[in-house]
Amino acid sequence: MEEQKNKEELAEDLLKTLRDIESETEVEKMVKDNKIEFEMDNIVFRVRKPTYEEQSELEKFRRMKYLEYLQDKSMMFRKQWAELYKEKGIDINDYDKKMFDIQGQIDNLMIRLAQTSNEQDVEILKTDIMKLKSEQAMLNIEKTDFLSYSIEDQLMIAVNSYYTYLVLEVQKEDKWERLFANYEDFKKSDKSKIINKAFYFVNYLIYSIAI
Amino acid sequence: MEKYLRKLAKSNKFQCIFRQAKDYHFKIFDNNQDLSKIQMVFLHWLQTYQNLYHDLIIGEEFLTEEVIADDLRTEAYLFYKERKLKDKNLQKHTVKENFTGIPSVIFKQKRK
Repeated sequence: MEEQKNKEELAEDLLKTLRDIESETEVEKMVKDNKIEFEMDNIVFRVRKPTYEEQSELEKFRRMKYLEYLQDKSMMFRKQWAELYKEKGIDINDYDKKMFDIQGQIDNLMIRLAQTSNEQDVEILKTDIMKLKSEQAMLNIEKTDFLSYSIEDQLMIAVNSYYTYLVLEVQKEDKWERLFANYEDFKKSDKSKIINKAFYFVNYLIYSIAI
Repeated sequence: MEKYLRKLAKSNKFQCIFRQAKDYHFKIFDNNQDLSKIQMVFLHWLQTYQNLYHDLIIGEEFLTEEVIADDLRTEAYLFYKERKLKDKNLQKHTVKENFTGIPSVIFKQKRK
C-alpha cells in the first residue's frame, strides 16, 4: 500500500515537473520576442505590438468611446459609484483602508522573514504572509467588482478589446493576416476561445492602458 | 506566470546571457526595441537576480542560496534591504540637516 502511494506521489511529482517545464518553455517563447504566438486546433495565431498607425486608430477609438460614455446618462465615474454605494451603506474607501492595514501587517512579517533562517519560523511566517495576501486579494476583487460598471473600467475593457482586435493575426501559409476584417466582426464573433486567449496574451504585451 | 519568469531569470542560462549581453552587446531578445511588458518585467528580474547573486558572493547578511531559491523569501530579503537603505539615507539626511557649513558663533561674556 505504502509502495503504491509512493508510486502515485512520484507520478504526481513527475506530472508537476513536466507541467512546469512546459510552462517554462511557453514563458521562454513569450519572452523571446515582442510577438506572442499560440496554437488552437492546429491553427497558429499571434498577437503583436501595434504599429504607429494602429496606435493612432486606438487613440481615436478611446476618445470616441469616452465621449459616448460621457453622454450616456446611465454611465458613472468610479467616484460617483462610490457615493451611490455609500448611500446604500457600502463604503468603498473602507476597502482601501483595510488593504492598506493588511499591507502594514505583511510588511512587518516580511521584515521578520528576511531575518530568520529557522525552518519552522520560515514556514509559519510564509503561511501567515500568504494568508494575508490572499485576504488582500479578495478585498481587491470585491472592490473591483463593485466598480466594474464605472466609466473608467468599462473604457479600459473596450480599449483592450479594440487593441486585441487590431493585433490578433492568423498565419496563412507564410503570411500573417488580421483575423477579423473589422471591429464589428470581432464583436459578433463566436470564436470566444481564441479571443479570450488573445486577450490574455495582450495583457503581457502592453502596460495597463491609462484612462 | 511571474513564477516561471523569475525561474528563468535566476537560471544559469539566462544569467550568463544577461552578462554577455551587457559586456559584449549580445542580444537577449529577437527585437532590439519596442519591448513588450513581459520583456520589461523579465529584464527587471534579470537585473534583480544579478544583484542578488552579487550580494551572495560578497556575503550580505541574511542572504543564502535557499533564500534565492524561494520567491517569497527573496521578496522579504529585497524588502528588508530596501527598508535598511531608506533608514540609512534618512539618518544621513538628518545629520546633514544639522550641518550648515557655517562656523558656529560662540558668544562669550566679557569679563568685567
